Amino acid sequence: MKIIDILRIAAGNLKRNRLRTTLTVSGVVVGVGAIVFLVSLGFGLQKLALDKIVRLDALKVITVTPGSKSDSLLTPDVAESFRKIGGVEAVSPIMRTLGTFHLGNNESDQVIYGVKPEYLGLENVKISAGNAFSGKNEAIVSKDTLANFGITQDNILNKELPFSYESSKGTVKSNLKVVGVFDDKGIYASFDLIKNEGDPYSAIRVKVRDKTQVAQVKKTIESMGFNTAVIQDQSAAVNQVFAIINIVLGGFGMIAFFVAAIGIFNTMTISLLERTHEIGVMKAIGGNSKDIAMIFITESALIGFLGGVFGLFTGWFLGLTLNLLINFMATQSGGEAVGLFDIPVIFGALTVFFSFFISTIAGIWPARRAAKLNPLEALRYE
Amino acid sequence: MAKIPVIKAINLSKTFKLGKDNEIVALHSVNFEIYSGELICFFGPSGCGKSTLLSMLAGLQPPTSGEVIVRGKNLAELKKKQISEYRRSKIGMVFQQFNLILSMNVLENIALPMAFGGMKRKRRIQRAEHLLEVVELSEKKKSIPADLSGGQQQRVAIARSLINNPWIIMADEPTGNLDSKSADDVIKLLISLSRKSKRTVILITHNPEYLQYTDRIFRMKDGRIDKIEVNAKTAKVDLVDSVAKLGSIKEDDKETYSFGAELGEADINDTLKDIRLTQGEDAQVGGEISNLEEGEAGEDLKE
Ligand SMILES: Nc1ncnc2c1ncn2[C@@H]1O[C@H](COP(=O)(O)OP(=O)(O)OP(=O)(O)O)[C@@H](O)[C@H]1O
Ligand SMILES: [Mg+2]
Repeated sequence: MKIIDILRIAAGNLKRNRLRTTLTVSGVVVGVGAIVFLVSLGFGLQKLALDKIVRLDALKVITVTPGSKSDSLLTPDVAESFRKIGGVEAVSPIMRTLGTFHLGNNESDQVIYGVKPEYLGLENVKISAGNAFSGKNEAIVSKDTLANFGITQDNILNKELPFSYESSKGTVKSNLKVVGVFDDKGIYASFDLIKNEGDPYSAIRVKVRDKTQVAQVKKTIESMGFNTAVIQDQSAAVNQVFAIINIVLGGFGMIAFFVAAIGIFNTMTISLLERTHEIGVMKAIGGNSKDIAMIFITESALIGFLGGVFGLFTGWFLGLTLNLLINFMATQSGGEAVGLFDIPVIFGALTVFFSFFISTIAGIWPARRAAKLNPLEALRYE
Repeated sequence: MAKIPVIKAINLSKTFKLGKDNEIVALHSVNFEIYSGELICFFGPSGCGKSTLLSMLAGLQPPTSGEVIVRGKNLAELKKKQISEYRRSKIGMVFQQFNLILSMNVLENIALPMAFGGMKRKRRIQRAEHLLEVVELSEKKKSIPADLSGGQQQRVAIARSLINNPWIIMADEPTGNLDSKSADDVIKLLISLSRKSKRTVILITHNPEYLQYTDRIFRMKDGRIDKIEVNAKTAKVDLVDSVAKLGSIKEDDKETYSFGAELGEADINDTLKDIRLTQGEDAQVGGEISNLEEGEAGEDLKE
């Protein structure tokens, strides 16, 4: 018998008992939907965690500090030689200095990092008010520092802050124009403001093109006699934790799905009893056992496939709705909108296949019984 | 030319074991030969073993001992798949309860054995529609069995039995559930199948009125064929001779029959015309009809 004809007969049988088919498929939808909903929550949180804990760009950055030998100073020539190492994308010097700020009668000491504008992008600094700096005297100040100063955001933007610092040439007095406020800690000022012609850099950030090149570049720089530091890549550990979380969440969904599989088995067994006479007829007019088994297996496989597809859709839709609701409430209370649910394509495809596969297995036993029926006894069965 | 039987039973026996010391011998070593184009009737009281015998001829259950030989091939030697093939395309079964598939419409029912054989849908439907014309039910092709009368359902079942051009039609009390008018239509159809398309028909009936249209009557009693009567008017002469050689014919069995009033010669001839049409079509479509000719006798059951 042709596969298309088996499909046609199987689909006809499912249509014949609409209510039962709908209920059985609904069971699978609940099971698959539960798996998709829970695991996509796991995946969503995993993605969120990875985004928060390890910004992907930060993993590509090597921080170089002067070595222990007296000649291993970070000069512009050295920075230039780093730029020539294979795999290096950007090199950005940092000047670290302690500035003394004069605020009315108070004085406050704060660390100032003198950096180039592109460094801000390298470090993924998030400006929450105002702009990043571009000009010589400009700087951005963290909320934290503003709190220390006891100044509000609105009072400082585009104002000048007088400060002084010690350089190899003595005390330097200067003004710094605050053009932006950022989320983290400290003060970033334009590199030119505090570069102190001739002084070596405090540190150099080296950004490589690809994460896999970090180790090689780091080794090369170390061999030149400098100290290096990189952010530990935590993503492996995070992934491991979420693998376990996903298995636990998926396990809960699996229970629902398992019940649905029993439902399919039950439906097919009842169907077998109801159709015993019909199977006898089919055998008597020349249907062979394999075709009859295939009709049954196809029916349960169809149930599984339909349940899988609709279940995937349901799980996705539930997650989406809940996410919208949560984001609505979050933004209402000033929070950030986030994606809590994530369904990787491969996971979605696997879920549908899994549903199809397990349902097919659930149909095997009834199908084999149907195939084994004695045609004469089946014909006598009413 | 020696005639080769289409189907032949050799010492065919069937015993049902019901318990340790409780068995029913349904058939006692039955022997017979049936020839191409014959219309045979198994006739006898309830429980004499007619259905048991027919189901073994149809390969629906194996005999306890003995053999069924179809065109030279022993059914016991066929593999499972070949038995299905045999039931599908070498014989056509017609049952008392019609046994249509209730979820399929008339056309699908008729075409089902062809679908089991893996034939293309277009060809199946074409042939099923043609057979529906033959059984005069074209207007019902999209109906489901539940919407048909008993007689209509049985005519659909006969069309289904013909779909693969079988050598032998086997009908177990096909009129048992029908009113007399529908029953006559069905019998008429079976007779015409035998007469002009030379299809071998084996009929089981309880109605003695129908005996007169058959070529030979196998009278059964207690699991044995009691005697074989030949209808001298309808049966072929050479056949009478060969059967006579078996020694089971009595002189007075050779009496001639006349057709009953309700089922006149004219009616039969009408139906015959339809069947002849079928044959012409068959020859064009697949040429399978030649299977029924005697030259093909003894052909292998395997395709
Ligand atoms: N599966 C079976 N198990 C046990 N006994 C059986 C079985 N099938 C048939 N028999 C017995 O075999 C005998 C012949 O039965 P069968 O059905 O062939 O009779 P029949 O001639 O067709 O009768 P009817 O005219 O009533 O249909 C009966 O005694 C019946 O009880
Ligand atoms: Mg019977």
